[in-house]
Amino acid sequence: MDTLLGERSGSAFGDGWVRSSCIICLNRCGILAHVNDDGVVDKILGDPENPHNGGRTCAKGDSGFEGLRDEARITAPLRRTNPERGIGIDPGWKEISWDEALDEIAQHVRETLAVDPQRLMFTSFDTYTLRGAMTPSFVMGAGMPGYSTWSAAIFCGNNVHNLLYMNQNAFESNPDPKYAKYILLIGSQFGSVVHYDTMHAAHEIGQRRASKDVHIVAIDPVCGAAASRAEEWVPIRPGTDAALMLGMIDQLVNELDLYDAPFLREFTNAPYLVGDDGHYVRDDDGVRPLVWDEADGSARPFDEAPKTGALTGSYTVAGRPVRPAFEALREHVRKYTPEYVEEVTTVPAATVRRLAREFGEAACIGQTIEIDGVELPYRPASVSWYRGLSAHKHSMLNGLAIVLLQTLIGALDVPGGLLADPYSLKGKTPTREYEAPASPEGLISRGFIGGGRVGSAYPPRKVRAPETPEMFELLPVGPYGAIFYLLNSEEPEKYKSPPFPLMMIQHHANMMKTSGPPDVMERFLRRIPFIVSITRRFEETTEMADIVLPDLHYLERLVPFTYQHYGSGDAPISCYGSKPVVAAEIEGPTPGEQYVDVMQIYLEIAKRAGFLPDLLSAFNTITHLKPEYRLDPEGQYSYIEMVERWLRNEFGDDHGIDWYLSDGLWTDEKTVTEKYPRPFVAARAQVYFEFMKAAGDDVRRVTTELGIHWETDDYQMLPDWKPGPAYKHPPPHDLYLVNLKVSHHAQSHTHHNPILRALSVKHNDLRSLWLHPTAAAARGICDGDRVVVESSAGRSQIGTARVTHLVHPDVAAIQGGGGGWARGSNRDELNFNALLNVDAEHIDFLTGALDSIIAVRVAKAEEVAK
Amino acid sequence: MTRWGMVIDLGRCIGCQACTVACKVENQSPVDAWYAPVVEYEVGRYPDAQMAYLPMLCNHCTDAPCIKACPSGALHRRDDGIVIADEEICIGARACMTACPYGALHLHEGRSGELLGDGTRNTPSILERYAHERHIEGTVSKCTYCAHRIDFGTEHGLTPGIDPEATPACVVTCPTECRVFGDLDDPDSPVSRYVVEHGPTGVLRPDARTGATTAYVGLP
Repeated sequence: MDTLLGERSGSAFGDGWVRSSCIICLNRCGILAHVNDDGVVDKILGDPENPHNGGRTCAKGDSGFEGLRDEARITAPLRRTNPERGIGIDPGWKEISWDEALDEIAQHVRETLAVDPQRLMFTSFDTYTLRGAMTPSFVMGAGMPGYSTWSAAIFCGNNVHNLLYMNQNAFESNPDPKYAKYILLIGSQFGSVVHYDTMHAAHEIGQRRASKDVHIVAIDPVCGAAASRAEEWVPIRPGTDAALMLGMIDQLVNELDLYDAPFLREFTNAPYLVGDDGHYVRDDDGVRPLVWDEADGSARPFDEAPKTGALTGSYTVAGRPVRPAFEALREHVRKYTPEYVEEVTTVPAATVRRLAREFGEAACIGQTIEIDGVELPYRPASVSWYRGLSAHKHSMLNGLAIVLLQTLIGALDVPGGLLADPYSLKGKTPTREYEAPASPEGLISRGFIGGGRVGSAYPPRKVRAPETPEMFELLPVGPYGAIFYLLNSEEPEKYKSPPFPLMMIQHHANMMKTSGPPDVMERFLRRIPFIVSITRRFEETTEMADIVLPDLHYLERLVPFTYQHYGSGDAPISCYGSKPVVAAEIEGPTPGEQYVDVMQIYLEIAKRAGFLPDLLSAFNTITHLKPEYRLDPEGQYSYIEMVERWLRNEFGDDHGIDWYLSDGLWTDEKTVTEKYPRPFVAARAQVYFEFMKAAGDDVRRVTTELGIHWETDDYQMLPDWKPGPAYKHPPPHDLYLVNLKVSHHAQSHTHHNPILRALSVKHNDLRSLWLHPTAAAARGICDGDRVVVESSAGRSQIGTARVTHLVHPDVAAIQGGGGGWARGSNRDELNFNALLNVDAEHIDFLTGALDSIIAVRVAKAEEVAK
Repeated sequence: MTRWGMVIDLGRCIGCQACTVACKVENQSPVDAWYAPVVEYEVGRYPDAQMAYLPMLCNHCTDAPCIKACPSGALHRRDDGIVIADEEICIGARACMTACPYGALHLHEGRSGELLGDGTRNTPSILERYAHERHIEGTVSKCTYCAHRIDFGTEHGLTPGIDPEATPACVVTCPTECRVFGDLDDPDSPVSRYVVEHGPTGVLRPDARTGATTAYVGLP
């Protein structure tokens, strides 16, 4: 069989070098992979021509080839022979042929679809294909309820994506590394090669830090890599960030008058009038909110006074007392005095005042900057957050607080501010231009993208009775519901759980190790009668599967659309992907064809289960194929043929697979309005979340009808800080356990890389439990002692004490996502997720976030043994 | 004359270990040998505490203690200042390891299949396989400023310190460009210009009077 790359070098860089894409983390840097005379990939460099990472790679990317020779690699389809499934129980794997495996899978798919497509669960965090069309067309073609990314859906963007869509039409947003002067990292390590925009942000910030051009403040219970390099580390009690945000907002709007009034008038709902019930006061049409037009002293629909709505004061409209939403916000945050904030967060009141002033002044409100001949607002201050603020009870309120802080200074999608990526308010892809639509209320309105379930908080989705245990139908403003599979599994009667899946197809998501604790995950997966695991190596989740199919390493895959960086700020658009740098040494599902992607498996399953025409139709739709490239739903196409059509459709007729294999990097510069679109788009962001009330009422109505307990108190029009479950932590579980990332690991995904693993052994990072000297002394613990960390639910892990000043005195910390029990895992490492609590008390019922602060008892191992 | 040297700006290092790994992969160094480690250490007391990072490598000393200590003549300094350990000559006496104040020389102990050091792997990794082919057990190896890349570059009209193919791997991969390389005798080289613009620089263990060609900006 000829390999796709054949004798070609695959790049213009000389013999043996192939341009491709990394996929170890979500940033998908452009790489050059070197194939030596033995046909082995022995080196990876950053692709110097790729503008996304500019020729640089991180420790993970540099050593990514090691996965090609993984000892735990799966090389052929396997079937379980032991019907008993569970942790540590030998499945009795038996090698079977692809035909046998695919027929058996297809039969289960057919049977499940005949019962109810909702009971076929698909899970994948293969970001190579999720944002493209391949995986979504399989999911849509089968009529499944969507896909779930699992662990990411529990800990990752629960208060991120939904709120960024709401205010920026964005899936992600990051500080502008080129122009930002002041960046607040809220439990985030942006700029330290562990967040988004990794290499580019680290590069820009590193350059500018040397000339003291950027000031970073890390608000974090732990002083990790980013906080260590920040200009200031502000230790904070875990789970209290929202109180600090609201305290800063109070300072900005009530004490310092540091907010962008013209921006708030024109580009947000701040001037919208609200009545004493909190709802908008609307025009006679019953839709358009009114503003108080300062130009003529009367109430008018927002779009008839687009720049002159009052922000403050109180007025009377049709005999009713009304006030601008901004005035309501000002009153709401008055209770967050610096002294109260200090009490909650342990951040000194003087620091709260200073941070607010620094942030507000750094925003340069009123100043402009000329870029490409166009004068733009210059707002070089921003916040960065992710799991640190998101994975909590009250996650939605935390997210609203931080979004408010950013929006009030007008620093959205303008130079120096928080920049959307990869989509924005306005921009272009290779095939089309887009602009965020406005709702009838004048607000940014987008809703769903892709084939997943991620959506905007606004407008809230209609609430209805849930059809799967994911309960997504009860989360009108949240992006994910995966955690409810686990809550329902633990307490199926309490929430009247819809029936559990009859079948799961799992790919690139080691949920057993990376979601809830193993005992919870085991109970859940045992409820699913038939599990297919498509995996490159024996992982913790593989142990629970009925049929295992071998997956590919990223250096063996052909995925032209791994990621299309429409780019944030002035970064150019760049499209590129992965190539089969080396041919997999394993047979694939289609005889005679090189095995290059998991999609070849999906096509075979669809063909054998009878829904191939639906898959092909879905593909036509998702990829917006022009008539000349459209697939005939009744036809038969190889994966390569589909890729060929998609490439030509996207990049032009002369940019098919040959172009992709020999070059494959497409870039385009953006216009200034695409770089910084905020001033050029009418749709408004929100600083007052009126929609939350109606969404909450909707949830209450449906859950009351269903007769189930559901938490709706957090459906508030303005956010508050509320204590999470670990906030009160009576002895002996009197420390907060938190988790932080390590720069040279992508959570647990890289732990089997022998080079990175050796580095971790050298630094002892994955085995260490960080304790403040006073916390250690109180427990008689010395640096290097073996210690037991135990949750109130009785789950425990053993590690080595690292007594350090880099952690808040109330906190214990674990780095990375170590531990596990699969082949090649190290049981001596600490597995943070194994200590989590999965119950109603720890779940945010608005966003599906799982609280990741664990109240723990820490003691010397020898004392526990006694 | 050409005299290669490196400046490391500690104000830029973020401790990401990209250089550590890029070096290991480029040089396929033996199991326990990390030619370019980033040393982490803690400074200060809570809450004014932080992790500090010190990227290390061979300092390619003008007056190299390792060369003087070597009984077999395995170590020598090239005309361009690069200090080389010749594994064909080395007898594994380890005198250099004691003499070097920077811990820059590494004995290939011949361990196999143990890159992890934690017992989770039984067979050699890709890197180990080539490390065994490239290095001789029982001998000492070290950072060469990626001399093979420099030599390739100069043979092909490239400029080390500017053209990635001709520049040490640790410098090329660094996301923050905290490592700057070039000809110390050329006032227009990146390293000379950096010293002028961002100096002053210092060296590690100045008391050892090694004449190090690796210098640092921002040493405490």
